[in-house]
Amino acid sequence: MSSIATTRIQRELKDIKESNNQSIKIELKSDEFNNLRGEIVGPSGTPYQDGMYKLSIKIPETYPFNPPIVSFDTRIWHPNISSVTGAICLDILKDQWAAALTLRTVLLSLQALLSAAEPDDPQDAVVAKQYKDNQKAFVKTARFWAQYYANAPGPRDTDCVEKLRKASEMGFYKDISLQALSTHSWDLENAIQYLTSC
Amino acid sequence: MATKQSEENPDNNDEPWTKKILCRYFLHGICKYGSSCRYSHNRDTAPDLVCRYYQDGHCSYGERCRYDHVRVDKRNKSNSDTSQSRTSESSLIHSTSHDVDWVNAVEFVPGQQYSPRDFGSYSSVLKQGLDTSPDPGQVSASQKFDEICPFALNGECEYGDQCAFVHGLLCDMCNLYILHPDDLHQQAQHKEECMQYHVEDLKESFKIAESRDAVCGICMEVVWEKDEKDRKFGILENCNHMFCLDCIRKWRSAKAFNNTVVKACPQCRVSSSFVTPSSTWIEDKEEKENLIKGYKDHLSNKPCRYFDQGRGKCPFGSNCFYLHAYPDGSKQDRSKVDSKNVEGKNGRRTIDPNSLWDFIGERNEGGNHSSSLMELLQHDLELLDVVYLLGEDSFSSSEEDYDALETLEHRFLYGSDEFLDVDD
Repeated sequence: MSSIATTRIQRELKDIKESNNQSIKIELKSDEFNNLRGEIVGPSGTPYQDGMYKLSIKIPETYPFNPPIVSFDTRIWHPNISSVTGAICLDILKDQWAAALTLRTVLLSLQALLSAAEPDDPQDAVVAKQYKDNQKAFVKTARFWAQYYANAPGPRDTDCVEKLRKASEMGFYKDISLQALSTHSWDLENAIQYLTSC
Repeated sequence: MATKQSEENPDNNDEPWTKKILCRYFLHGICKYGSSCRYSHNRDTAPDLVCRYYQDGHCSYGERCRYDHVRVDKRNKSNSDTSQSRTSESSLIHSTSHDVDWVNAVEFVPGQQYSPRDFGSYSSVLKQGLDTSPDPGQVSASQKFDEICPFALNGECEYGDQCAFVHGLLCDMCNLYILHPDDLHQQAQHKEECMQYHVEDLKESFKIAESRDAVCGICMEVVWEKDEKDRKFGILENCNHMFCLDCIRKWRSAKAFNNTVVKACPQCRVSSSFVTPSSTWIEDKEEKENLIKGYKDHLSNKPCRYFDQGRGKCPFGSNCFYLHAYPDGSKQDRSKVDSKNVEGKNGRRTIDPNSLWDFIGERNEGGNHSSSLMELLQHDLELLDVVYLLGEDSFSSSEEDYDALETLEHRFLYGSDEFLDVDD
């Protein structure tokens, strides 16, 4: 790893520690500086509120002249984040990267992205469609995912719990059942039909 | 000189010149040479009673000295008593200073100032300004400075009031006793110089103080803590964000991004068309303008490699920062280039694609133009950030960078958009 990338990451980690910001966290995955683990707290006022989202951060050799490769490890229901792979669609992580941006600013941008989705520039077309056509179903799904995957507190939606139980009782994996139900805006019949067809 | 020759030439005069000076020892009744003394033992001869130590500014006997503490002006010979001896002495010094003829070399004479070479003693060298000062009315300020005692300058002249030099008054700016007490003009001149120096010094130290803590926004290191060769700032034209030259140049040549992204400041995204190297951090608008002007002036004296003294074509046309001169030294008429290569279109300036095509074609040796055009342009533009180090022309980057810069020391003043238009 190039020395500039290593020294910068070391500096950034130190700065984050000193900044004492509770809502973002970054730590080394191993002794190598090219593989980091991040964590952000879902911003309040959103369906992701108080969820703990784990991120994997890969630092390219050419950092900071190229952006870090960031993806969600924790599954999330968001128009700009793939509900399956966790890939993020955020301009600053792609063509709008600037060398002066840091891991801290990236994580803060991700928090901002959770607060303000960009459905017109989606990463996950299904989620974006639901966000635009059926906002109520979107909020319900996003909240349930936050509770289910990101340990967001609060009572879970009974309708969701019940439908997920029914789908999994039919022998489908919970994750796959949840994906199908969410995709079909909690229409159990459509979801089951989809699950059996594939 | 004539005197000396007549005196020393035995054909004209049998007596050595020393016979014309009354022996000092004889004067005090203690000359051990008696009649064989080379000096005159005739009391009618004029004695040389001028204290030579006093002439050099340091007679340790002070007022108790048995010799005359008078300042002898060699030119005016105001002191008639000593005029003869002074003449002979000064002619003596002159003779040794002009021909190194050791046969006729100066003898060491006790009591006489011995000047074997043309340098004279330390104090006589120091005193040169004093000795040669023609007329006090016409003394220039620099000569006035010479009158100031160099020891007293720091307040350490042990001769105190008896010093032959002028003890200046303390300048509270430079803390030196350098102000001539009788010369207001010299005082004013010195104070002005001192003030100017002080202001510049202050500015410089502010700049250094500001630069010392400056952190590069890209590598996040304190620029002044880097290796000496990397200790340079890249100043952006349109914003005041700090970067080291190396980092900002690397960013501006990043291939993964659109030109509008990399030509923008990584902090504020304000676009700047070029980076100016600087050894200190400069934020002040005026200073920055001076720096950029100096940078452009510097480049405008370097011959453009594309133009190649008229043999080649420069794709940057009239916007090129480099010198477009023909072998005879005449400069290219840039207004012509303007009308030929650059045509106004909706108020925008666009470069004639043909000349650019030629240039690209040449460089690419007829390869696939359309696909490589953008790539090449991008590549060229990356290299526009030419290294310019105030005063020195060494490139600190790797050899590869150096080669690239060698072939493409260019810069395009109006950003890169115009080039991209060509691709359409």
